[in-house]
Amino acid sequence: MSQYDYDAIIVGAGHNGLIVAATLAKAGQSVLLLEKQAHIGGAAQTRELFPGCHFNVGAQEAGLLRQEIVHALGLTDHGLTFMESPATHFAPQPDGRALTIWRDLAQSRASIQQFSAADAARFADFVAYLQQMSERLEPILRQRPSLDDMGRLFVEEPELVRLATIPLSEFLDNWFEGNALKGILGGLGVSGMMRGPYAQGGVFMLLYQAAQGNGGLGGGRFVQGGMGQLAQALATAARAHGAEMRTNAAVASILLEEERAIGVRLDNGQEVSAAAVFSSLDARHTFFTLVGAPNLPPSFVRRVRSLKYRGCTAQVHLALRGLPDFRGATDKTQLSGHIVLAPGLAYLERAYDAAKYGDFSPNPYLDIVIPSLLDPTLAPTGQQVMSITMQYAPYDLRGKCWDDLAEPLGDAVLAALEQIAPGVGALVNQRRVMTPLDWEREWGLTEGNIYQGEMSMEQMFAMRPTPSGEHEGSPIKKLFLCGAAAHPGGGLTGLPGWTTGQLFTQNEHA
Amino acid sequence: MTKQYDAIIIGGGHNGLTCAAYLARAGQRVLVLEKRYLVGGATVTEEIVPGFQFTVFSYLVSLLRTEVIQELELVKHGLMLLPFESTLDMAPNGDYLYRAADHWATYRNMARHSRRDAEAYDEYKLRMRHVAHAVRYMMNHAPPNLNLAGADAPALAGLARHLQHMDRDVLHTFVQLLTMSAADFLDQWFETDIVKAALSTSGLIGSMVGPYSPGSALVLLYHYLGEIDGVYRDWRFAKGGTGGVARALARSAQSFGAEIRTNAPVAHLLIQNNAVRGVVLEDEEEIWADAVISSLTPQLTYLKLAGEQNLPADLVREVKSWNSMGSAGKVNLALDRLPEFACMKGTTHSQAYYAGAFSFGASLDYLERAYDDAKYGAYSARPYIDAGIISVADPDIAPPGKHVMTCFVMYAPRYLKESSWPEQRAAFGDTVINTLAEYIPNIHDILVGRQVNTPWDIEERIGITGGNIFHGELRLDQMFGRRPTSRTGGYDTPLHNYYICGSSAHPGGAISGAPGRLAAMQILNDVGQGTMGNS
Ligand SMILES: Cc1cc2nc3c(=O)[nH]c(=O)nc-3n(C[C@H](O)[C@H](O)[C@H](O)COP(=O)(O)OP(=O)(O)OC[C@H]3O[C@@H](n4cnc5c(N)ncnc54)[C@H](O)[C@@H]3O)c2cc1C
Ligand SMILES: Cc1cc2nc3c(=O)[nH]c(=O)nc-3n(C[C@H](O)[C@H](O)[C@H](O)COP(=O)(O)OP(=O)(O)OC[C@H]3O[C@@H](n4cnc5c(N)ncnc54)[C@H](O)[C@@H]3O)c2cc1C
Repeated sequence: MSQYDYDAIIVGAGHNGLIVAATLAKAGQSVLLLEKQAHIGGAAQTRELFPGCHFNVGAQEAGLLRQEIVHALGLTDHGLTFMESPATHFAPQPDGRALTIWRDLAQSRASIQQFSAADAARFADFVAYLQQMSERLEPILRQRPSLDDMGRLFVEEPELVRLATIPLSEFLDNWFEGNALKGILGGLGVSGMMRGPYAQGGVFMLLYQAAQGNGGLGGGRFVQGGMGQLAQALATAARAHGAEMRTNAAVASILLEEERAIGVRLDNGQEVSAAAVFSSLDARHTFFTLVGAPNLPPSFVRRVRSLKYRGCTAQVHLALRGLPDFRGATDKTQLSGHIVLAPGLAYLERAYDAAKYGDFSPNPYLDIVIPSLLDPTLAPTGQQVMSITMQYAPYDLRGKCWDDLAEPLGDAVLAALEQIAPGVGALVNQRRVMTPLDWEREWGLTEGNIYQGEMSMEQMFAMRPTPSGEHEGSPIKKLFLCGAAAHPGGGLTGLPGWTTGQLFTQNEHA
Repeated sequence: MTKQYDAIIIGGGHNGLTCAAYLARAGQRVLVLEKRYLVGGATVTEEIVPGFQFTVFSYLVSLLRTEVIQELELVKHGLMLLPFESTLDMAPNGDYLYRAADHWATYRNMARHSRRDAEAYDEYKLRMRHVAHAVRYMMNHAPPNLNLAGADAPALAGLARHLQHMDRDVLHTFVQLLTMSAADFLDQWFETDIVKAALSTSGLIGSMVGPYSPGSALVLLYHYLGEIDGVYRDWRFAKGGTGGVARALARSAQSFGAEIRTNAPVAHLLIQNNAVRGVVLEDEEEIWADAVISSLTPQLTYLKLAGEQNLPADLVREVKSWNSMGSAGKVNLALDRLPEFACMKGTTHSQAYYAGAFSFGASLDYLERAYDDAKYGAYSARPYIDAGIISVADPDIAPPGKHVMTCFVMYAPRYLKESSWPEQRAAFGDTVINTLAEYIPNIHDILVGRQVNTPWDIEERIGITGGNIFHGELRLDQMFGRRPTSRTGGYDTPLHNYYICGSSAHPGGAISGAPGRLAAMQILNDVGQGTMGNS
């Protein structure tokens, strides 16, 4: 009989926390998963924001989730069904035309051809190149390199190193000439990043996003019944293996004995002990809120304090009376994936410029999805739900507050939307604006960073979230980070939870 | 035709001269071919306004390798480096930051803004010194050939050993410096805008990045690699302007027997059976040699001189995507008397600051906005200016009582979206003067002459394709084993007997002599004479 209530406690029921719970439970450990909110799923959940209208709040795109996890945890048997849109990206342009990227390469080429014959000719090579590079990246994403490994990679993977530091615009300009195509790719490369496409680092994000491309650019994969069904399937899998789960159970602190985690205290005062604690919160919250800076080495505190977050993503959710007309669309299937307002790299860069100085641009980058097109159950008959992910909405408004600026942001987004979907305003029944401040309040994402910490090179790999070799991510024994804050980072990959869980069960069995 | 020389060096910039001097010193018969009427390239001094000697392009010396100074006996050949004592950074809001050689004076001046920053400054400098010390290895060693991977085992093993022995904290800071923005990097130590801005400018010099751009920390690191006579991060003016460095190098090379020909532009290489046999000048004169070494940009070295048809397609593709776009202009001013700085009025500083360097625009947002203009193809409406009045330290370069002020101006993109540089040159010069007028109210009264160099002029006059002052952006994907291509190792090329030795070779631009020296070492090694230097 163990001296602890559980073998493991997992803090936070986002998809990563759920994956750890399922993995450990499957390996025979007794597991308790604690979630502060009433809903599980964290930054990937579905909510009925207005009666009958179900919205994905947070993540919209499920393309990054590794298939291996889906198989290993039997998620399809537990109710997970993916839907793939025939078109992955549809990009209306200022001149009224639109570029469509399809799952089918030949169709994409035909659409690109209307903008540039040269680009159309290179597109297949480009996709193959991305695929090849993401295959080289994948093993690094699965096993956290040490600082010394980084030196080795520097020499052994010169092409990846090049991609890590060449400005995204320069990289894309070397491949393509058309603004429409470069806009789509540029948008992928800056997603969730407080930087513009003229900066370095975006090629890495593009690769990260396209890693599961399967021939196309990646993306256009959605979850039937809404993104929340992913969390439900994970929860069902975890429970099937005996994991316990509590919602409305916020962890107030992590209990320590010497420099070792031995359990948690909930905000109602209850204490639960465990042989190991996994936190899927970001590093700031885990270490400063739950552990407490006085319990940590000052050098480590300094590291965590200087982590960069700087969220820049907002969302506008619209309940629509009907499907709007998008300029340049000839066929409803074109709208089934991501509708992108990013006509060119300079457009994106200018949108970013405003954010640098604490403002948002009237010409924002919009990534729009209408999930009810593929899954009509999400909205009342004849109606549609539309979720718009917008950049750049800087967390730091230099003295102003998002509580005052959320609605003006909503207005700006609608005005921009009106340009590519004239008349959409008249179709809006309801709207809900969510800003970086909301992500922070809802899920404890510091400064609203959607990846639990900026995905810039110096905060990746051996450095995520703190440099390897020092404390391997945590100076507290038996406390493990397992969320997006940990290697390899944010997005619905499942990898942080999966690799942490695998490593732990292997070590326990060894 | 038989050979006339062991080695021909194309381009008489300071790296070409350095390489020539080392080869001649090892007994080789060497010829330097320079297209202009004088040697020096980006390190030249010319009398543009009668009586005023302008250090036309480069103006500060710090990265010049101690080995080069000693091994080539540059002091004997007239090199004289004049210390400058202080740095005065002026902010657009009228405030200033004064750093002097005296530690306590610097401390007091920083503490005026923030005591915490003043204290952090020592810690910061120590960390940067440690990183610079660790990185010096790379300044003195040729990079491994990435294309050969395993085949270049010794270079790789040496590097791996070096990295493994690096202190973990230092290694981490080094890794941060490779990709971070200067502002983010400095945020780890400092809190006040003027301090961060003043320190960040080393991360911008010559590069198309703003203080908030990822990558600017690497440029910052590069500027911390300097040392003079072993004194870390010392900056100096050269007596007679940086043309003085070129003159000393030329004399050294000649003393070892090298020949230097000016007004001798090279048109293309002589190539037979994939091997280079010599060069052909613009006037069609042929000169034959065992080895030819180019100090020009990769575009000229490969595409113009060698010719695409003689090169592997992979290499040609890499060279075509080499980024050597300029981001800066250089404006040289002849002044009737010393300028008056508005921010120093009524302060108690002695006038020692005149002997130092100054900068105008020390505010992060100001710098970033200057960059914003440039990234869309315009020169900055309000530029950042890095300046010095060299005639204070070296009165010989101006008529008695008069002065020369050198102004390095950012940002000036190579291509203007709306116009061309020949049309905009004068307006650009006016913008610089008007910006200066905000800090120096009497500038219009004391100005007696000016010379405006835009990136277009840099390209036209000294042949730096794109006008980038380092012959190519200092960016991780253009450094080390990729400088200037990943297809070759160090200083060789795919063509037999053809080498590179300029700023576009490892470790990169600035007045360092490092590429010239390392190239010479490799060439001598190849001909079995590798005994000249120790590293
Ligand atoms: C607006 C937005 C859009 C996004 N779009 C996409 C997308 O389209 N595709 C994609 O792949 N990724 C997207 N992402 C990123 C992705 O959603 C996240 O990286 C991922 O969901 C993180 O999962 P996680 O399990 O690591 O952490 P989270 O999902 O953040 O889970 C952490 C959980 O911990 C809970 N918690 C917090 N504090 C406590 C406490 N004290 N006690 C107990 N529980 C606590 C939170 O409520 C939350 O449920 C988006 C994110 C956001 C915010
Ligand atoms: C405006 C400016 C300011 C700078 N400021 C500083 C500074 O303050 N401190 C610092 O350390 N560095 C500074 N630099 C950078 C530094 O000066 C350069 O990196 C360095 O001097 C380049 O030396 P190099 O020998 O590699 O090439 P270059 O100096 O460019 O020499 C190349 C030579 O080749 C010649 N040439 C070109 N084509 C041909 C041909 N076909 N045939 C024959 N000859 C040819 C050119 O005329 C030139 O003389 C500055 C550069 C510029 C442009």
